[in-house]
Amino acid sequence: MLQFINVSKRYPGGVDALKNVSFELQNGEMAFLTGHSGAGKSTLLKLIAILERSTQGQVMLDNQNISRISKRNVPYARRKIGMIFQDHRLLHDHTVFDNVALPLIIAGLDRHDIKRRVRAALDKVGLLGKEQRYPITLSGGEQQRIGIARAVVNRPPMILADEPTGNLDPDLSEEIMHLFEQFNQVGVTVLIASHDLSLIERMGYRTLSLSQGEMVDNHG
Amino acid sequence: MFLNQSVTLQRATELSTLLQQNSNVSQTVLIDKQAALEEFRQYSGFGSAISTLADNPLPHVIQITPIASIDNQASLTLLVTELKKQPDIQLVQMDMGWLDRLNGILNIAQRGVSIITILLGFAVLLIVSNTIRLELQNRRDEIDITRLVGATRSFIMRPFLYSGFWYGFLGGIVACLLVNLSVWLIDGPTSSLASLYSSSFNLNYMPFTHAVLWTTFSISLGVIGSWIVVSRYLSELES
Ligand SMILES: Nc1ncnc2c1ncn2[C@@H]1O[C@H](COP(=O)(O)OP(=O)(O)O)[C@@H](O)[C@H]1O
Ligand SMILES: [Mg+2]
Repeated sequence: MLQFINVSKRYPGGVDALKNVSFELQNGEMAFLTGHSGAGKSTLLKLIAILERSTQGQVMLDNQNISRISKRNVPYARRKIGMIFQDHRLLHDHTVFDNVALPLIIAGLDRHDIKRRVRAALDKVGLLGKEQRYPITLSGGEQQRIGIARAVVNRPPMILADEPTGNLDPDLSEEIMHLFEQFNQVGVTVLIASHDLSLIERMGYRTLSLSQGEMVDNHG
Repeated sequence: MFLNQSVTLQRATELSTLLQQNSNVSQTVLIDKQAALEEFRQYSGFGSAISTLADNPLPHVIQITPIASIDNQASLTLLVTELKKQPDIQLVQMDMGWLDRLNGILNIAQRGVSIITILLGFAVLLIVSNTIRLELQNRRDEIDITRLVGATRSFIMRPFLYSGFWYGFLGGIVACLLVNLSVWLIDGPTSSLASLYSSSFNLNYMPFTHAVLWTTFSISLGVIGSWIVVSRYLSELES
């Protein structure tokens, strides 16, 4: 599914955020990505979502080298990935429904399908009945669920989450993690960046560790 | 128009009536030389001196007012040449100064309208491009987020192109209205000035075809402007 082959990323200005990183993620696998702040976790996820490009090496997704994909094709490659952010990245002047519907509107689905799928996604994250609310009127945990619903609404084969529980208390964090587990159980590949080591340990999944841009641990 | 000394009052009256029928003449007034001398005697203070004259030294005079459509030097000169062909005429004197001054003022007014049009054009351009830039700033988050979930360039640009269209359209219409409003404001004083000189000058309102062209131009500016502003921003973001 996902393969990093000797990937390096140097930002303009000379910061080496990733150094010669190699690993592989199987189809349907779930894994955590850990490391201190500044270790390169976000950078790694951004390379998969083609928000940044590698300076060296190959990022293979579905046997396609996405680090060298043309600008024109970037949006379509991105639709195969559901991305979740610590700061949710929601549209605050739009309702919950509109936020979750966005990927489907972009993909050009008709109104009927959009309605059906948005409701299904909101049902999965436990937000059914709050479609017409505005994100700001909901709690932090609920806002993160909107973000998750948006990420899964077009049923991507892979979900990336960048510190999805960073701002949540332990109970809510665990709930969110179990949500990811549920998506993984229906076959979605999941990669979650987090520095909540105790939670990661309890979950018991494969962990990839970064330290100053290098992959120091990669066990199952 | 001064007639020859020898022309009789009867002949002068005939001539005056004849000229009245000329299609370029609006009005003629015959000033009888006897009456003129009387007047001169009364108002000049040379009463007794004039009484000693054996003959009336003044000629008959016909005052001619050309029709209003003769408002430029060339057609007036033409009329004068035509008048000079008549027998019995000694001198045709025309008073051109006022006509030049009138035309000068009216031209200033028309030029003023052109300047207003150009200034409004620039104002519309500025307002449209600034509004689009502001809108882009307000919707940066939205652009970023739609990009994250896989929006194509054209999907992101479309709403901006639409609003560029509408800003351009509104801007064009408002500019046309303002131009015509200023024509209306300036037209009152200039045409009453012109009518003092019995000219029927009117400032031109913007013709409909110009308004359509102007609005089309403004719409193009709006659309092209938003295209440039947004695509520049997107190119900055793109990896
Ligand atoms: N856009 C950027 N430009 C320059 N340096 C960056 C940029 N983004 C991140 N970095 C640097 O790259 C390194 C890795 O950052 P990041 O991937 O955000 O780490 P993490 O998510 O693990 O905290 C850090 O040193 C950070 O300062
Ligand atoms: Mg990070």
